[in-house]
Amino acid sequence: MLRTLDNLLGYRVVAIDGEIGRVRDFLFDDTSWKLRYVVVETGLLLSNRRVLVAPPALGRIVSGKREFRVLLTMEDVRNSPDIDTDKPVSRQQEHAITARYGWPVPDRMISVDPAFTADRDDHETAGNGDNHLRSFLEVSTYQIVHAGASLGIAENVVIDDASWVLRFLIIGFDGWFRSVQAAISVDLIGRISFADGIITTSMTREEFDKLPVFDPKAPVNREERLVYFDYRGRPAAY
Amino acid sequence: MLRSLESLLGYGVAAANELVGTATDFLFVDDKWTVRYMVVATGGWLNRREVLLAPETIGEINDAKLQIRVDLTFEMVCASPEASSDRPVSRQMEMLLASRCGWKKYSSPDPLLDGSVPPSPSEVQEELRGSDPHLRSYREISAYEMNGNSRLGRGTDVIVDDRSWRVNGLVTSKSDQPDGEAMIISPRGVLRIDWRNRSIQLVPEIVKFGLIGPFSFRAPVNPRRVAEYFDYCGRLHHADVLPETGEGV
Repeated sequence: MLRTLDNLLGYRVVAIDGEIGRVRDFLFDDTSWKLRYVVVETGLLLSNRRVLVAPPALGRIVSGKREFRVLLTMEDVRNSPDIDTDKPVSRQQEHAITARYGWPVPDRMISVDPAFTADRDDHETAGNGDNHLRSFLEVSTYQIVHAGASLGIAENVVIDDASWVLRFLIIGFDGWFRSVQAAISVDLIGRISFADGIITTSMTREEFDKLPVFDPKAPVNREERLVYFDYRGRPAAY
Repeated sequence: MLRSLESLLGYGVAAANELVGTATDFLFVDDKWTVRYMVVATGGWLNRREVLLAPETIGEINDAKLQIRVDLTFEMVCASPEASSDRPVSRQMEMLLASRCGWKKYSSPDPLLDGSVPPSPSEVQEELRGSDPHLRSYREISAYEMNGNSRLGRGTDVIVDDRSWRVNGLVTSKSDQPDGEAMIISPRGVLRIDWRNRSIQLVPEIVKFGLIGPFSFRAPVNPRRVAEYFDYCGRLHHADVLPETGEGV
């Protein structure tokens, strides 16, 4: 299902044996555009920490209950390594998490590509932090820039909750009547600069103006299921 | 799909996306236990006309729009045989009774304005010659008393299969509550339908033969595939019932 990330913020995160906290942020990789972690703020019962949950542990999203199910137990969360989410996640911390839960090691092919890293800000390649890990809350305030001119502000992200891959960036801008939104594919995103707070795109102003208005209420996700009807042709509750 | 006939009464009848009339009754035969006609009231209050449509013409039943689609044109529905061309048993008996008593109620379209002499019993008998003694009106028999070894209750509904239009069972309920405790009786358990006493006589020992069972209108009896559409926030936008393919699901 295609979902907007900002709608998921605040969802209750429910482990196998109880609620562990609420969704606070999402961390994603800006080269593979894969979601890497859901940042969960745990409740008082679990000493009010922030923990990261990786896609292999993510379960179903129940929109009706504003619930995000995870395939963990409260004990797993209690024993998880402490993460300082204000800094980029280091490799060491990441390996500690993957070893703990037995998750597959994330795909890191692109981050060692010298041609790509040369294109990045020196600021970001320095240190042992992961320079491709981005926070959704941080990025959703950045300007979208083409050839020095701003197209608008990145306001939201559309993700596929089956593969946990980011699909579109939702750009907000002022239309002639009111502020509107348009979706641009992540394939058209060039570079994200932390220092300037900008995201460059290869999409020109003319192309951008032709985009349809993004409607978060559009029926985009089709799902088939078997429903039982009663003798009067109404869906039967059972 | 198993359907309650009661729930279909009052549904709009649509021919080629145009509303022609309203389903007012169903006529079925009590020997083969199949629906023979749907009675459709067409026209307005001035040119009201009841026509008979064969169940084979019935297409999709849309419960969201309360509509029965028929695979006919508007003109074809209007040109269908009039309800008086094939009368259910209750109607035949009423006509005979009226002629014996000299009432003209059933002999003319407007008994008050018509000064003609009512037809004699022999004329009515002649008119009714060839009428089906098994044709029953759902509206008439749906409230008949059900009697087995003892009184079982009053009829409340008839369940049919909306593909084969075969009668699946007769619903009876002891209380008058719409969702009270109800039982379903197999048509094989019906001995005879008695117009005079407004009752349906069931075979004795009906429970022993397993021809009666508990019934609930809310029972999930019809599995169907549904396509649901969700928006970017995961909210249900709308759901479409998919057309059944082949032998169904």
